[in-house]
Amino acid sequence: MTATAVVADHVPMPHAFTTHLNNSSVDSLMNDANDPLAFMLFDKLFACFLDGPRKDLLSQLPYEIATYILQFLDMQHIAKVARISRSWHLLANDNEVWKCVFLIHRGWKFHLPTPIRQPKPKAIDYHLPMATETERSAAGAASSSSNFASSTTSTLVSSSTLTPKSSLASPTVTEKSTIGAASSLPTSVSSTAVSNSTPAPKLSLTSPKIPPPRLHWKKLCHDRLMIQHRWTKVPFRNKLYGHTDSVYCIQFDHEKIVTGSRDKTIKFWDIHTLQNTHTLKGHTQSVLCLQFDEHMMVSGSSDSTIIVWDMATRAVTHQLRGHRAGVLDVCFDDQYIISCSKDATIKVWDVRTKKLLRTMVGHRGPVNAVQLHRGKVVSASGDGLVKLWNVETGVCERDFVGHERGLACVQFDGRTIVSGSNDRTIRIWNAATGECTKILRGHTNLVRTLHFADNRIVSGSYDHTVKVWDMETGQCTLNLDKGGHESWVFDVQFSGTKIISTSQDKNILVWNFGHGYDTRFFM
Amino acid sequence: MPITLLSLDDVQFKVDKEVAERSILIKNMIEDVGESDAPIPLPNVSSSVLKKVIEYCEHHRNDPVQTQDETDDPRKRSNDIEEWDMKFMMVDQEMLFEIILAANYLDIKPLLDVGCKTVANIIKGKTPEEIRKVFNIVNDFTPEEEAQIKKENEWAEDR
Repeated sequence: MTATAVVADHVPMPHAFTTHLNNSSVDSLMNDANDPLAFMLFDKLFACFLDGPRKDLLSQLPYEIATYILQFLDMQHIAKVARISRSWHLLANDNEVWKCVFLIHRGWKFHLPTPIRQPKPKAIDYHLPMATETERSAAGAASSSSNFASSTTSTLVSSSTLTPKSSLASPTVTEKSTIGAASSLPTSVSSTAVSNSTPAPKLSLTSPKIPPPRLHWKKLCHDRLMIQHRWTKVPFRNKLYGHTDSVYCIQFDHEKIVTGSRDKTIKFWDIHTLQNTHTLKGHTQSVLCLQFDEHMMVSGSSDSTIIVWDMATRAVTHQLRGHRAGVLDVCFDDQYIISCSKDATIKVWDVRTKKLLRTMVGHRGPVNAVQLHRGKVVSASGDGLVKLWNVETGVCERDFVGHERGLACVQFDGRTIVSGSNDRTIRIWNAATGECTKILRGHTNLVRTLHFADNRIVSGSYDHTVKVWDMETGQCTLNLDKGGHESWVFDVQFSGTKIISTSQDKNILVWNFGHGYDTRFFM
Repeated sequence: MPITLLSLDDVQFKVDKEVAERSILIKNMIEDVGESDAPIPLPNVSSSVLKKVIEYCEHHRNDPVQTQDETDDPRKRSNDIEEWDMKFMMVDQEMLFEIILAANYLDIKPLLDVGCKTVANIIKGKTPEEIRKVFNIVNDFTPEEEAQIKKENEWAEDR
C-alpha cells in the first residue's frame, strides 16, 4: 500500500500529491491536506481547466510526455487510467510508468543483482523480451489480454532505447546508475533532445555494450504488492541447522546470512540455498554481536574482545582489546567502530587505524546496545536509560527517560529512536526533542531485539515470539508465535521479503513472505 | 544584453538573458552561436504561449538549476506544486496543452514538471467517468474488453 491518502473519487484533491515521496517537500502547500488555501486553489484551477474546449490531452501529447505525466501517479490511479479508453490503456501499460510506481512506492526497494543470476528453475522471468518499433506502433489496438506476457508486448519498449526524441527518456538514468557503467545512452539522449536535427551518430559512440536488463516493472509491482499483503499472515518458514548452541546475532544481505553463536563460531550461510558455507573461529567465548559490510566484519564476544575480519578472505585482521567485560554490541561506519560492554562503557575506535579514540562513561549498568548514525551514538543500558552521545566530543547530549526497567535493544536512524526493554514495552522516541511518541505493548517478557525500517518494527522477545508492528499506529500487525522459536529470541533482521530470527533454541528461522515469488530484485 | 525571441506568429519578445536561459534549448543556442542582436526564432511556439512561458521564466529567474540526478531519479522527484505555480497553471486545457509542449520543446524541465503534475493531479481527483467528461473522451472499449482490463488491473486498485 502506498502512503498516499485515499480520497473519495469525486473530491477535488488539493492534497493529491502527498507523502509517498521524499521528505524534502514537507513544507509545501500541496502536502498539507487540511490547508483550505490549497483546496481553494485547486478548485479554482480545476474550474479554469474546464473553462474552454476540452481535449483528450493524454492521447494528443507525444507518447513520452503522456507517459511522463503518468509517472506522477501511483498504482491505483494507473489502474484507473487503464480503464479510460484504448489509448489511455496503452499508456498505462508503459514500462517506465510502472518503474516509477515501484521506485516511488514507500518501503519498496529495488535491488539489481550483480551479476544477475540465471533464474532458478521455476523462477519467474522478470526480464522483458526485446520489442521492435513495429510492435510498439502496432500496439495502438487495445491489447486485451490479462496475461502479463502478452499484455505487455505492446508496451514493453522503454523509450530510451528506441525513441530518443525527447528529454523525457531520461528517467532511465536510474537504471544506468544502479548498474554502474552499463549505459550512458540516456544522458546523451537528453543532450540531443532539444533539437531533433542533431545527428544521431553521437548516440552510437556511447551505446552500451551490454544493454541494461529489461525488467517487467508491472510484474515486479504486482509481485511486490502480493508479498506486502502477506505481512499479515504467518509466512512460510525455513530453519537453518548448524550452530550447536544459542544463536545470539544475525545480519543478512542479498547473498548471505551471517550468524554468531554461543558455540564461539560465526557461520556464513547462502541465502538462496540456506546451506552453511563457512564457519569462522576466532573468539574464545560466545559471539554476542556482529556487523558487516562488503569489506569488513566486526564481532564482539564474551571474551571481552572485538575481532575485525576481512570479508573477502574471512580472516582475522585485528583484535581490539580494552573492554573489561563482554562486548555486548558493535557497530561501525566509515569513521568509527563503536562497542559497548557489560563494563558499562562505550568505546570509540578509529575504523582505519583500529586505535581506541575514547571511552564514553555515563551508564550505570551494562550497555546492551549501541547504534551509530552520522557522528551520533544512541545507547541502551540495563540502567533503564537510552542515551544520545556526540562521538566527536564524547559528551552525552540527552537521556531518554521512561522505560521502567533495563533496556536490551535500541535502533536509531537520525530522527527516530526505538528501544526495547525488560518492562516488556517498545518505545518510539523523537531524537530531537527527547519525547516518547509511542509505547507498544504486547510482548509478555523482555523485548530483547528489534529492527525498524519504513514504518515497520520487527521485535523479538524472551516470550519466544517475534512480532511485527506498524510504527504509525503502534499496532501489532503480525505475531509469529506458533511454529516459531521454542525459547528466547535473541536477534532479528528483516527485509521487504523476509524476517530472520535467532534464538536460544539454537535455531535460525527464515520467515519468508516471498515464498513462491522470484525475489531477486526486491530488498 | 537582452535577448530577442521570435514567436511562430512573428511577435518579438525582449527578455533578459538569464530569463531566456531558463530554456536549455535557448541557452545551448546562445552558447553555440554566440550572443547577437538577431532574434532567436521559436517556430514551434505561438506568441500567446510564449508570453506565458516568459512569465514563468521571469518568476523563476533566480531558481537554482536542478541537477541531472534530481530530475532523473523518480525517488528524488518532488511531487508538490508551489502556490505561485498553481496560480500560473489556472489556464484552460488548450493553454495547458500548449505550455507542456512548449516546455518540452524549449527544454524547461521545471515548467514541464509543473504542467505534467497539474494534469496528473486532475486525473487523481476524478473517477473514470469524470475523467472521460473532463477530457472529452469516448469510451471505445467493448464491454468484454472493459471487463478484461478491470480484471487485469484489479490487484493494483485494491487497497
